[in-house]
Amino acid sequence: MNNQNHSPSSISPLQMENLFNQTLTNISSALNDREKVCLIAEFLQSTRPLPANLTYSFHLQLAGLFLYLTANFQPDCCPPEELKIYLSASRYLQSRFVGQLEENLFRESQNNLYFYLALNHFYLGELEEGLTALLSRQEINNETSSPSKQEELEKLKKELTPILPEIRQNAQNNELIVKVLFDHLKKLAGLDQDLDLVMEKWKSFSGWRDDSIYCCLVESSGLLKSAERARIISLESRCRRSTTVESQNLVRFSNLPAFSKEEIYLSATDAMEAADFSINKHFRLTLPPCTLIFSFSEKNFRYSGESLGLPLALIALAQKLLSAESRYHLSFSREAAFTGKIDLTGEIKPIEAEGLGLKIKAAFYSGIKYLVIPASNLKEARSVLFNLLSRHPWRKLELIPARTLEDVLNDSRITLKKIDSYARYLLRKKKFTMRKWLLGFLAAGIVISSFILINRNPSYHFWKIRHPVVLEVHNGNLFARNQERQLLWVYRPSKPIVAESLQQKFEDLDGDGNPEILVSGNYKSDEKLSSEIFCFNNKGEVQWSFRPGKRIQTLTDEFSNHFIINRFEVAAFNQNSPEKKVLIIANHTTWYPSQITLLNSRGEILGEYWQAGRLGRDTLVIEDLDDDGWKEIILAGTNNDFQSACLLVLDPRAIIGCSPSSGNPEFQFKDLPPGKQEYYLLLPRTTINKVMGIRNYVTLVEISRQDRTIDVTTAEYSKEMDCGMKYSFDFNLNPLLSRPADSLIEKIKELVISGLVPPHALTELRSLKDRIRYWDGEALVNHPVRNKKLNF
Amino acid sequence: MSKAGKPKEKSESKDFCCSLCQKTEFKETVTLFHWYTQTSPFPYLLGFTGRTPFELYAEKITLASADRKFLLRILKDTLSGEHQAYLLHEEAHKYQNTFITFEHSWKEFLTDCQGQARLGRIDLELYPVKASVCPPCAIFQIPSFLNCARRIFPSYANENWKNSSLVMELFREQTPLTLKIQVEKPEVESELKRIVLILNNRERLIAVPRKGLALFELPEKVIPVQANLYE
Repeated sequence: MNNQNHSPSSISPLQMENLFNQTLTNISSALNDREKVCLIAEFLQSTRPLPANLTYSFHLQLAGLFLYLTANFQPDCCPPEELKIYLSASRYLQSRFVGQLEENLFRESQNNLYFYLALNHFYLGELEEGLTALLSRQEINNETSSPSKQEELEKLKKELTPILPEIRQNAQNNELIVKVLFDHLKKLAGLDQDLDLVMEKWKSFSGWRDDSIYCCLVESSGLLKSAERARIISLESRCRRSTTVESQNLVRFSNLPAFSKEEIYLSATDAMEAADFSINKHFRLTLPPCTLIFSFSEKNFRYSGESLGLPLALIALAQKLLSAESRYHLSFSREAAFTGKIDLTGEIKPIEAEGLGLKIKAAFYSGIKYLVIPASNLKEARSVLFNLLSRHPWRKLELIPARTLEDVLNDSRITLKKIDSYARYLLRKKKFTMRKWLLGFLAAGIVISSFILINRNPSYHFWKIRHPVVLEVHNGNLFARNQERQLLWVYRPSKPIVAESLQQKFEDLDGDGNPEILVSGNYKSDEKLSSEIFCFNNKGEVQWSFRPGKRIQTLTDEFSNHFIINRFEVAAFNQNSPEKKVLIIANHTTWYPSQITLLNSRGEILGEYWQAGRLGRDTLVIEDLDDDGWKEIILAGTNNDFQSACLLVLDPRAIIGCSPSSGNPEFQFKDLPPGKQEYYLLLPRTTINKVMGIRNYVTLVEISRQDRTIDVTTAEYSKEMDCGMKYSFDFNLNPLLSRPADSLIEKIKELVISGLVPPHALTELRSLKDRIRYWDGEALVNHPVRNKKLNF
Repeated sequence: MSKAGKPKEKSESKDFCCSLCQKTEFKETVTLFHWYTQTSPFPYLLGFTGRTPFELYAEKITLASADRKFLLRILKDTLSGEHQAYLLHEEAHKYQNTFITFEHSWKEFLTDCQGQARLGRIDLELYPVKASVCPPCAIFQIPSFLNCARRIFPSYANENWKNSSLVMELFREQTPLTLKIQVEKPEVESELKRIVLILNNRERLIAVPRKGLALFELPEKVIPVQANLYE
């Protein structure tokens, strides 16, 4: 503060008015809030001895502004002595105008002042004073003085006294000392928030930054006024690659007072040159020109001088390396402030002694740890620092002398250098080129993979005719080929399929114009066989599949679930509907039951009929026998229960139940209803058949639409030889004739001659049709009859 | 504040009432003129920095006497909108208990012992303000004990009132206490405009004397310390 001498005892009102007006003028031209506060405090201090009535109105007039400013300003680098003067002024105003101004104003003012007093004491390592200030602040907030707090503080001081020297000795800087102290203070309730605020403030003086740097600069009061105070201020910068073809760096300041622009721009241009020189020398790099934009962290900061050169050069260096995406990355410590002139070769030139003193004072009262100064100024700087230390011996401020930019860059306390590995550098620097190459490789890989994939998978062979006409089995897999025998797709079933068992049909089941492919086959197995029918679309996708059989039981036995598809047929059973259905005949692999299943076009079961005997492969005919619009299913085979060949007619609307039973529990299916077959015929056994001890069975069923007859051929003697009977029926299943095959007659004759069979074995053949038995729904009868249990 | 004096006839009481409502023409006054000085810079300053103005007591006007010895500062309480006047002079009796009047107003304001006077919500914007101040022409220190009628001589008096005296009589039997003051001034025929009885730092009683006589009804247990005369 300036000590202006006024004569307090002999001053007239007019002189007082003039003094006041002068103060107002000074306030109006003050640089910042701190200076305004300082001016008001000076006025208050100098006029306090005057008669109360003389000063009353003037002090009252200034009180509002003073309290407002002191409640809001942030005097970071302020000596505690100065803050104490402000506090004294605030308390004086409170004592004088307590009724006239709101109490809150005084409280806020003193609150803020005490906080910064504590903070600045902590910066200086004066722990007891700092704590006292914080406690005073707390008392103001609580509006009562608490003796217990004072006692607590005294107690705490006693506790801390023995350990403080040790903490001070071990800790490298005041921040660490304060941290240790604060850990001890956590038990002092109510101070937590204040302590956190102090540490929060201190955080601004920690870490590393590449886009800002602390400068220690003397603030200019104006063209004619001498400098009075230095400040620690953050200089921020960002670099942008120059878009112009000019081969020189460009500098811009976003906030500068008009009167000092030219000088600062010159200084900045030199600093840029110095930065380029240093980059070339230190990092062996030649970086392209760029545009650097600088700004002070405070909007109204007025600066003029050359000591900004060093911080400008350093931050320019860091930013240029960053924008050029080089391997090197520089950051500067937030614990350090920098000041010094710089020349084009990066040499740091001394600064004026007056400014140096102010700067050291500013740094001393702030929270920074290092002050980087020109090496030539070290001696006088030490002298100033020594003087300051005589007043505040606990402050730990290190002066770092630097001759060149190199010195600063090589000092690990204030400069953090990072060098990227080549791989990372290339990844960062050549990322566009690498990305291009990578994309190229990726595209090539995709193309090649696609070729391979398409080549290997016939489903993607778009150039082929996509309509399969035949399916083949190779190595148990299904291969679909078109009419040119080109492979269209391959289906790999869960188990290999036996090639010989393959049956296939191409039918449009769903009426979409594209035929579905129905394929059945038996699975290879070490145990018993099983089979499955698949429905594919022409792309080879399985629409549905069906596996016949189930664990069927008779009253005495249970059959394993091993059924193979004997034959399947697709037909539109209702002449009035185009919907096609799939009929599947499956025989048990080892035993007699056969399953007749009707599926709809989606593979859902419509009906299921069980026959106590095997059914032949060529014994299936589908024909509308009674002209009712529904095609009947004519099947034939053998019935194990009755030990004879059989013929049955099923209506597709009533496929349910099981074949008639003789009552033998061995052949009586459990849990199955009586069959709804339309006709069930048992063809008689011949004598030779009985003598040879074999069952006769139907080998062929044919139909003559012209004659409206059904011709049935049986095997009576041997499977290999054509030794069977032929029966003819009309469409109502009336027997028309029964005729033995010539070979059967010949064989019987031979056997009759040899005496193995009686002679009537030959004569009975003509009358066998009369011995055909029909199931009427309840019993077997000897005349043609339809199942009575069928309702339609 | 109590007004004293007992007009005996109707015409006299009418005159008395009229005199209360009219502007008092003090004889010995000092005229104060607008002192062109720098007015408050704060609204400008704070407004420029983007903050709200923070001036609780804004300076409205400052007036000064021709000899620059009197200074009258008028501040406005920005919260209540009221004005306060602060009269400054090197000599205490010039600013203490001094009447202030404004040119275009019949109101009169009496400063306290600090030279302050509450003006209230007066309008100072309408016309160029010219004020007059009338300090006391004689000051009498009143003794602590007033058992019977006493004559008192001034502790301060201007040239005209050097030989003046007061006869003070306290009527203790009356409720409230009544103090009778008779001003005696043989040579001059100047008419007294006001007699102010100062009870303590804050409380004062003003009377409009008739022929130098004034009666004051005193609050209980309060003995006046000073009596001032104004012409």
